Amino acid sequence: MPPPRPPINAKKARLYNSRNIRTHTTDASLVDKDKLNVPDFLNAREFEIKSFELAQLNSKYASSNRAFQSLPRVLRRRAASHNVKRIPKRLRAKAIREMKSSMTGTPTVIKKKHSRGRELYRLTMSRKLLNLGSKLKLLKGVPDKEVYGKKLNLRSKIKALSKQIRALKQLDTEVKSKLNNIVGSYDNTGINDYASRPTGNIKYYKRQRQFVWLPTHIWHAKRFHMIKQHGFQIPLSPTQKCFKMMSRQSKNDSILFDTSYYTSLIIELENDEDYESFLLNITKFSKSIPEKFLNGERSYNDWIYLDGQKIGKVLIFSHIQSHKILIRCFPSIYKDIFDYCKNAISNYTPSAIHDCQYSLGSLDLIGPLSLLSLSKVLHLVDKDSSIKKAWSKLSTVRDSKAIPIGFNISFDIMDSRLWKQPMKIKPSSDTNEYFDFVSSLSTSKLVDSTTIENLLTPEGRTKSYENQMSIKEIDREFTKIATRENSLIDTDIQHRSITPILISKIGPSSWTLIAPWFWILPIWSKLVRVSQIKPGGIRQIRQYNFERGCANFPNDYPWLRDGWNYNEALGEIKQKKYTKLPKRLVNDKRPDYKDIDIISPFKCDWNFLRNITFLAKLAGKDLNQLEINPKFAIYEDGNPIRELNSTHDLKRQCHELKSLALEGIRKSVIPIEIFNKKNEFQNKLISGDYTVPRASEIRFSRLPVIQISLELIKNGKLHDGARIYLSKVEPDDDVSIIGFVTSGAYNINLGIASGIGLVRADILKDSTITTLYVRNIGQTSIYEAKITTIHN
Amino acid sequence: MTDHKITKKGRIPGRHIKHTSNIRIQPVIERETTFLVKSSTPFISAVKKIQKLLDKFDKSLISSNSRTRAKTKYQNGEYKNINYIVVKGMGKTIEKTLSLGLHFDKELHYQVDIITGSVQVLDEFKEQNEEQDEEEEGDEFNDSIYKKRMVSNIELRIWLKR
Repeated sequence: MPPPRPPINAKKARLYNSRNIRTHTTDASLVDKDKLNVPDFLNAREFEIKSFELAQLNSKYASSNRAFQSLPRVLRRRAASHNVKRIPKRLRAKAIREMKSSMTGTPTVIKKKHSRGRELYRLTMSRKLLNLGSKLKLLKGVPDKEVYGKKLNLRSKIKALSKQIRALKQLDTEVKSKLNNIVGSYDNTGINDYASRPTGNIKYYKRQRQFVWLPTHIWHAKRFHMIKQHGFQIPLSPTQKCFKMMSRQSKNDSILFDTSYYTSLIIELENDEDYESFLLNITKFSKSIPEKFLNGERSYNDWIYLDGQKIGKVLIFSHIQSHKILIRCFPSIYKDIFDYCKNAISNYTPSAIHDCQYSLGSLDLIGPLSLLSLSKVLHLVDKDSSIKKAWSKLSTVRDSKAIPIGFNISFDIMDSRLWKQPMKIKPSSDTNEYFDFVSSLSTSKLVDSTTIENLLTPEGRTKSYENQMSIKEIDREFTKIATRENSLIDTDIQHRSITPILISKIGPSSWTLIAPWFWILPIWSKLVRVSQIKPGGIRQIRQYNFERGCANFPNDYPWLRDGWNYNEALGEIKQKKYTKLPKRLVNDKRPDYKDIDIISPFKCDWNFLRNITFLAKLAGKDLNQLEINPKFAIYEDGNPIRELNSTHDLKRQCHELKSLALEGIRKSVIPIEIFNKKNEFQNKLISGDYTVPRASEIRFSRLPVIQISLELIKNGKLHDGARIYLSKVEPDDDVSIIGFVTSGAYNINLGIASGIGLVRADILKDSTITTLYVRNIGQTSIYEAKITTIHN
Repeated sequence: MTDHKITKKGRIPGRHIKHTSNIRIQPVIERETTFLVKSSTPFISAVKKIQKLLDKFDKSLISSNSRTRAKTKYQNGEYKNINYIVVKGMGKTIEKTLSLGLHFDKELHYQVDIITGSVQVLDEFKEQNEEQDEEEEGDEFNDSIYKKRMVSNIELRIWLKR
């Protein structure tokens, strides 16, 4: 019996047809042997020619795509062939059609069950709450504090709200309004104290009690992975695959970040002498404050010093005309800075400190086209000023590297939502004019005093929210004008709300825009529609820094509190993961770590590095001269500490020190600090004048380190936590480690692996060393790397 | 800017920072079809990169490549109007750029046009106070001296074989 024929499948048939050209073999057109009757010949070949053309078309469409196949890689999803929800909306209709016609049948559509009983009741009640909340907002009222409390249940909350709404309706219009707009924007500044956390919409306030939502939270929550950190919900990274794209974007176009989680505070000091002495106290300047920094032409992007200690890198903007200093910092160090400043200015009168963490927001832009994309959505109020001219010169060129870091410009803008599309900007190509402009920057003043006054005072920010329009209102206005019009500029609402903003250059090609908290969302919603812009999260900031060999806060700063905590937490997680896996599941490829109790393979073990360095000093011997093989341990009479004669002795002693630290007689310190030329103790240590008194004292000392960026010379791999050596050593030689790589990976900008690390300062004291060796944890290959020192 | 000190040799003291003259915002297609020769660009790597660019537009290579869609992109749309690829070099790279041009002309038989010109660049001189510690005071607040300068440049147009 012959085998059954396979079922005819439409796709297979189509493929078969595409590979075959049918032929017709009658040949009556040759009348004689040498004479060809052309019309006859063509007529005879008509079928052939037609099927030839058809075959061409067939083969073109044979490999034709399903909807999901035509998508770019970032939009491709697992299971997109049968799950409609995995396909972008614009292609869903086509995808459903294809799925229906495909062999296996129908698309997966997940139907939600209708809620019933108690669940349905809860849903309707919370919807009611939402309605009441927005009704109250329309009446420009703010819910009473008790509504947010835990005491009331849902029903009584609804009762309380309806009561408040009734009361508001009966009152006079002037008395009732707590807010000056219907969208619920208000200035939340803490004066001489911390501001209360913003509550947000009544329906969603529970979700933001611990971690405050950024102004653009809802936009981000739909498109990003979010993390809860430092009291904010912070966008981590887009859900789309974007690693390579972001790298290209930062080189050619621009990346946008909502950095409103960067917290800011404002200090008011009326007396000019106090003002300068306070600035001298917290900045790197020791003798005098540069004039440009004082009057706001340049901002300070560097370390902040609290009691002479470097805490972190911050942005300080000072405007002595209005007696105000703005400090913007990473949220984890905010409390330290706020408390310090509050304490410091209490000596000066009159003075005030404003907590603006929830009243000033910011957007960061990275890349050569950041200013161009910004200028497409920012519409200046003042059209003829010198600031406007300067802004248009700045924003129509590609490369802003000639502009000094810290450069500031500030102006008032109109509501960006009054324009439908981003403006078209004519790029400039006149180098002569641009270079003249760059040279004249040192003399021109581009910071508008009234704008700064409005931005840095609660009254000014409140004024900017006056009559802020809702999206609905704006849409209504757009329906009144012709559909072809792009903007509402000619209508009477154009000057309804005016926003003060400050733009500052914070890096070689990165800029920040500071604006009142509730104006960030309107600007954002228009900025993301600019084609040169892609939004990113903190992971993209880290990627950007890494690709340019810059240290990233906090992971590359293990000598600071936050960096230290990061390193420790990461180590703990990795160790748990390593030990948790049962032995039968352990893969052969997993490295078999040795000496776990001496040096941790899960993190950068700075404690080990510090201990081994000081112990070698205690032994008074050069590490290279120590014997490797142990014979037996020698103890002096009555001394519990063994004599250090071999590397084995050193390792054992390190282990003992570690267990001593765990006992925690005194709280042990961070074992490293960044090298400072002026520190006497460090200089002694480096020159070798220093002697370690006792082994037990080592755990209270700190090892000076220098930050470096590394770049492998040949191909190789580099991972976080890789160990740094001075020369090519045996893989198990832990004693000659001189540092660790805090972040290392393949760098697609350089086309080779690179990283950031820290190395013992006594090794790098003379800068003749240009190459070092690195080895990844648990691996035997050792790679040569070029190094450059990073000054901190 | 005018009253700067000039040393005996006619050099302005301070750290010299050179700023690019490529400040114009280019359309994407122009960016994709321009190759800039740096002084650090090795000759062979420039040859390979330019060849890769030219291959993208080469119709004869389409069928031999399995990833046809990537290649057909360069035959359609706005790419259709592209006739040549631009290679630019200035200052001390002029010689290297010229040899690149000759290589594509004589060895690989492309039509190559050579256009000479000059561009303006900006020199920035950052004064460094030796008395002050550079880490301590930071030189970003000191005024720099800016000087414009004209530099010769050369532009190759390597015509596509279409």
